[in-house]
Formats: sequence, structure tokens, C-alpha cells
Amino acid sequence: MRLILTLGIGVLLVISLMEGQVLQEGYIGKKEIPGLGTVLIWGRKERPPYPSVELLKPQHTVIVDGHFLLRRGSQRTMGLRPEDLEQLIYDLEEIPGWITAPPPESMHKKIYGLQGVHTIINLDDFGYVGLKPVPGGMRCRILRIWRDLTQLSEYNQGRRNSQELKAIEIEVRVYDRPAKEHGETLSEYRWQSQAGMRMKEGTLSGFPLGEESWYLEPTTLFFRINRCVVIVRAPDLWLSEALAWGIEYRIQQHPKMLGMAQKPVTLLVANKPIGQGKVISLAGVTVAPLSTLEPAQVALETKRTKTEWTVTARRNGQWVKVKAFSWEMETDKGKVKLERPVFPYKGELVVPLRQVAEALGISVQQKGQTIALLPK
Amino acid sequence: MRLRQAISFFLIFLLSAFALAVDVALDGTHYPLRWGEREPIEDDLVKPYPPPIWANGYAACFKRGSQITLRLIRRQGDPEVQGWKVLYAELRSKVTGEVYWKHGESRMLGPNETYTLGSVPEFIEWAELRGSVIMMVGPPSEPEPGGSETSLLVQTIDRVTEIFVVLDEPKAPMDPAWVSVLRISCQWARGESTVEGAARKLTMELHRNGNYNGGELAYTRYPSDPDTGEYFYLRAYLEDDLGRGRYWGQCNDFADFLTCLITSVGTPRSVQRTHPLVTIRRITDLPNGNPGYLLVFETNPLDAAPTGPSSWDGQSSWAYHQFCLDWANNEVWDGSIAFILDSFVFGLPREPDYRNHLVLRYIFLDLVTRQEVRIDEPSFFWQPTPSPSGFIPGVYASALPSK
Repeated sequence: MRLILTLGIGVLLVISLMEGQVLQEGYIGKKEIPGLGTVLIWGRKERPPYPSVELLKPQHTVIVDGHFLLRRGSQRTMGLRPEDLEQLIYDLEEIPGWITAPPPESMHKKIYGLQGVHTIINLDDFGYVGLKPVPGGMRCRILRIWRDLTQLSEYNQGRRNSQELKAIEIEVRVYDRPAKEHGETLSEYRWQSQAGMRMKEGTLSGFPLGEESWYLEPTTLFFRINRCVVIVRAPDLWLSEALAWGIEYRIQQHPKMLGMAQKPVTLLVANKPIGQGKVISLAGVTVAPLSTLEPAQVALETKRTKTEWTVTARRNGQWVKVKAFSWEMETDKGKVKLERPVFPYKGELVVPLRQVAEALGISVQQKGQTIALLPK
Repeated sequence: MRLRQAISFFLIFLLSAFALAVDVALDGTHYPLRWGEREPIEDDLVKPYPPPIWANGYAACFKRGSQITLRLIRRQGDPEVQGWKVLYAELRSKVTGEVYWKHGESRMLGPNETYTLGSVPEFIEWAELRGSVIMMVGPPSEPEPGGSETSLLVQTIDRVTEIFVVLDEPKAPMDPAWVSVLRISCQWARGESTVEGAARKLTMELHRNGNYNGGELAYTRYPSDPDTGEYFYLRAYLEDDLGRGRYWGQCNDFADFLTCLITSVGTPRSVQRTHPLVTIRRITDLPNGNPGYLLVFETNPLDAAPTGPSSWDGQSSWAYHQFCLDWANNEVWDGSIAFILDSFVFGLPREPDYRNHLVLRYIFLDLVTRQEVRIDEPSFFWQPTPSPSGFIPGVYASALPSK
């Protein structure tokens, strides 16, 4: 009898404790980083899968390895999954020198028992979600925050306070229709923002990013492309812009066609098509992963650490060294400014094709959407 | 015999489930709450209420100094309670860990008897009421035929309820107050027993813990006439802070959030802007007689949140600035900025003190000559909007429907 009574009460207690404890669900990975100690982090291989979107009830929140996931929608869905949104943004350790770490001092740890959140994902938000109300409007969003690795280490050693920690924030919003219809334009930002008059059109480099871009010195860059809006905040605008070009590439690469329709670019090396789909035009400048040069007898040497990601390409005594998020490359003839920054994508660095190829002694000929690399 | 015993066990099991439904009320001067997780508000209320109950995962809000008394709430269909007693109870600060009072085992109480625990502090506090109640639960009033006539369940359940102690009934837009906001306001203003003291603490803590974003649109949205008010997406604001670790936004967000913090502990406040947003209302006659459109005003040097050196300190050029207003006294409370010489903005008279500390000069566009005109007189075009009392922001847990 005691056993049954204990079991019965036990079951009921478990049920009652589970209710209202949704925020406590999930798993936060820990990782030892030399000089930094234990950080809460998500290792891709270890990350448990997100729950199926279909199983997420409206208003349901869940934490999966530092990813705070909220589905607000009711019956309607935009058909985007958390993984779709993650493809639009840099991975947790993809920006050298930066790491996605939870805020070192946050009241929320105490208030909600939440730790390790560095990425916020909102699915199927609906209503007045943009800058203008749009009937039936919907939006998904991902916001991820990285912190300076060196500064975080100094903070952990008690040599820096949390207020001084620099951060990179990248937010990508995906709307159910062209983002312009939701009011995502410079003119709307100008009048709705306290410092709107200081927002400047375009980019710091002067290169046209997305359909429309604007920035607020000294940190923030905005751009819009089709259904997507991207906001990048980094300690300096050149870094913000370099990060932003990589995001535009990701949007254009996205399998769910979130970017602008583009005619495919065919890259031919020794008359064979190479790097299909990965070679695209970013506002008139063709960019491609460095590996597309390998069939042209280019040898690549990658050096990737927590703080630096460089690739040296060599061919017939000529060489080029590029660095992730840099606006210039080193060559055997000196430094060269780039038309587009170098950025990572799926474990490789993407570079402005013509500039890098020519620096390696490869002639680049373009006819329409076909580009041929002709080793000299 | 075995069958009879099995039925008896099953009944006891069922009774334990029923027994969970016998709620223990927390009587005193209390106020309704909402979780701050969803809209509409009816789906978001902390229920059951009134009165608040002592149960796990539950929250209750009491007026400072209020006495908490326990009582069983008997609802139709609940099992008969023959008697009950408090095994232990304690009120402990969640901020400091201090225990305000502790009760040991009480005598056996009749089902309709009440039991006085003690008073909540005379100041703002975020606490938890921890304890255990034992109930002697008899069979339901109409026992199952063939069931055990002698079954009597002795059940104890440990209970923890969050207790928020506030100065007075929470005011709009925090009526009812959000649990997610009280967790912050009652922590920051803990120990304060006056309206002035609480507002000072909340303003100061917001400035210390906030992160002014340089003046870009964040969590507020405007109605068709923006000069009449705005919507504040408070849940999104708080959720994004999970990653940022700081309360991030432009002046609108700071002013709205400070208003939520102060009103949540029972003090009325509104929100006001220094200038209208609608173009036609930003036009005035310039000293040369031409109409001029207000582009921006330049500020004196400011310490933007967070307190101490940060990215946006110094002089700024703003189209407007938004602040929290004590409209009864025309005093300004501002958590987004501090004045470098005079520090935090604690109830500064809106005119002339706050205005003169804030505004260095106005920059107009002369609509006839198309030239910029600078006017170094803070009172020249000071247009608190909406006038005279500001507005109460509409505070939401999700985006507004857009029809």
C-alpha cells in the first residue's frame, strides 16, 4: 500500500513540477578552452536536434544548447525551421577571435535559471512585426551574439569588467514577403529612430550591399535583400560590413530562395565546370570559395586557430594570402585592396575571384554568365 | 478480499490526485498578476485569482506590510478535508537569502480554520514562501460503492511560491503587473519603502544595467499618429536580453521599460517625448520669420547607459528624446542617460532643469532658404509631446495584430 501511495504521489509531483518549467528544458554543452576555462557552448556534433517545428506549440519556448527558440505562430507557418535560419548566420566559432558565449553577468541567470543563451530564434511571429503594419504579415528571425575571445579571457581572469566586453551582434529577419513592404527601409528607420538623422545611405566602402543598405556610425550596418533584413553591429563598421557581405552570400546560397533571383554563374577551369552554385555575383563582383582555384594548379594552405583564419594560395612561385573578414590580401608583390571582403562559408574562405586569380597568374575571361580561368 | 483491497488502493491513489486540487489560499492585501508570456491578457493571467494560492510555480503580489493568512479553498468536487496543519513555512528573500519568519509545525486545524503566517516586509522585496502543508483527506462526500470506508489519506506537498512585495497596487501599463517585470523591479528596488526611493533605485539600476543602442529603432512601434503613443514589445525586449545580458534599446525602450518598472511597484508614471514626430508639428517660425523644420537638437555631454564609459557617451544629435514622466509634478526620470555633471536623472523638473541639462542647441532647416539654422536656446522649441501628461505605452507580450 505504501509503495502504491508513494508511486502515485511521486508521479503527480513529477507532473506538477514539469508544468511551467518549459524554460528549464534543453541541454547546454560545456567546453574547455585553453586560457578561457570552461565556457558554455554548443558543439555542432554534440548538439541535440531541435524539436520538430510541428511539435512546437504556439508560445512554446525551448533551449537547445544556448539557442533560445520560440515559436509564436498559431496555425500558419512560414515553413522555415531553426536550421534554415542558422544557415543565414555565422557558426558559433566561425568568426576568428570571437566566440558565442553567454553574457557573463545577467540577471536572467538568477531570474529564470537560464544560462548559456547566445542565439535567439523566433519562428512564425505574426502581426505588426516590421516597421509598418502589414495585413497577415509574418516574420522569422535569428539573433546571435559573439564576444571578444581575448577580452572574455581577461574577464574570466578578473582583469576586465563585463561592461567593457566587446560584442558582435548579427540579426537576420526573414519576412513572408519583400521586406520593403514591411517598412524595412532607410526612410522608415530615419523617422522612427532617435538618431535616424545620423543614419547614412549605402556602405562605408561605397559598394552596394543588398537592395538597400545604410549605417549608423560607429558600429551598425543595415541592409535589405528581398525578404531578408540584416543588421550587423560590430566594434567597427569595416568589420560590420565584411560580416554583412558574407551574410548576403549566405542569403543568396539559401536553398529556400530567400535572396534575389540570380542567373547562375558558370566557372570553367580547363573547360570543366567548377564550384557550381558556389560562384555568384555580389553586386557585380564574382566571388567564389578558394577551392574553386585548385583545378588551376593552385595549392592551398589553411591556418585556422581560435583567433585567426588564413589561407595561402600558391601557384608557380606566385602566392596570395587571405584572411577571414579582411578587406585586403597579401601577395608576393605586396598588399592589394579587395573589391569584396574575404568571408567564410562552410569551412572555406570565399574571395573575389578575379582579383585572387589574377594575382596567382591566372587570366580570367568572362562572357555573359560564364567565367573561364585560363592559367597563363 | 484481494479485489476489495485493490479497489481500496486505487481509491487512495485517486484521492491523492484529488487532494492536489485542494488549494491553499494566501490571504492578505494582494494584487493580480500576469506572466508576460502571451496575448491576449486573459490567457496570460496568473490563475486562480483571487485569492492567490500557495503552490509550486506560482507567483503572488502583496502590498508591503500585508499579513499573509492561510486558508483552504474548498471547491465543488474537492475531497473532504478532515483537518490540516502547516508542517513548516518560511518567507525568504530571493535577493539576500534573509529569512523574515519561520514557522514550525502547527496544531491540527479544522477545514475552515485559517492560519496566520506573518507579514511581508514593509519594503519592496522579491521573496519566496516555502513550506509544507499536511492534509487529512477523507473519502469524497459520496464514496464509491464497495470502496474502503476507512481510507484516509495523509498527504504532504512541499510548496514554493514567488512573493512580490510592492508599495501599492501596480499601475498602468502594469495593471496587472508582469511577473517577468516584477522579478527585475523587486530585485532592483529591494529595501525601498517610498515612492521616491524606489523610483531612484530603478532609474539608477536601469542606467547601470542598460545598454543604449545609439538611437536606432528597437522594440517599439508607432500607431498611425505616433505623437499619441506607442506600442512596446516587452517580452521580445526581455528575451533578447537573454543573449545580450543588458537591457538594450533606444530612448523609447528605456523610457517605456522604466515606466513598467516603476508602475509595477505601484507608482503611476507616463512617457513623454521632447518633440513631436509628425513633420507638420516640427515646424515653427524662426527668428528671421521664415518657417523652420526641426532636424535635430544637439545635446550637452551625456553619460549614455551603461553608467561609466561606453560607446555612445558624449554629445548627441537627436530628432527627439523620450523619458519617463511623473506627470503630477512634471518631473523627469530617465534611465537612458545621466548628465555628466549632475549624474542620474532622478525627478528633475522638466522645465527648466531637465530641458537645460539636455538641450544645447536646435538645428532647423529654413524652409525658405534651405539653409540650416542653429539656435542656442533650449527653450526656443521645447515641445513635450503629447502634452501635458504624456502617454501610457501599450505593452505587449507578442506583436500586435495587423489587420
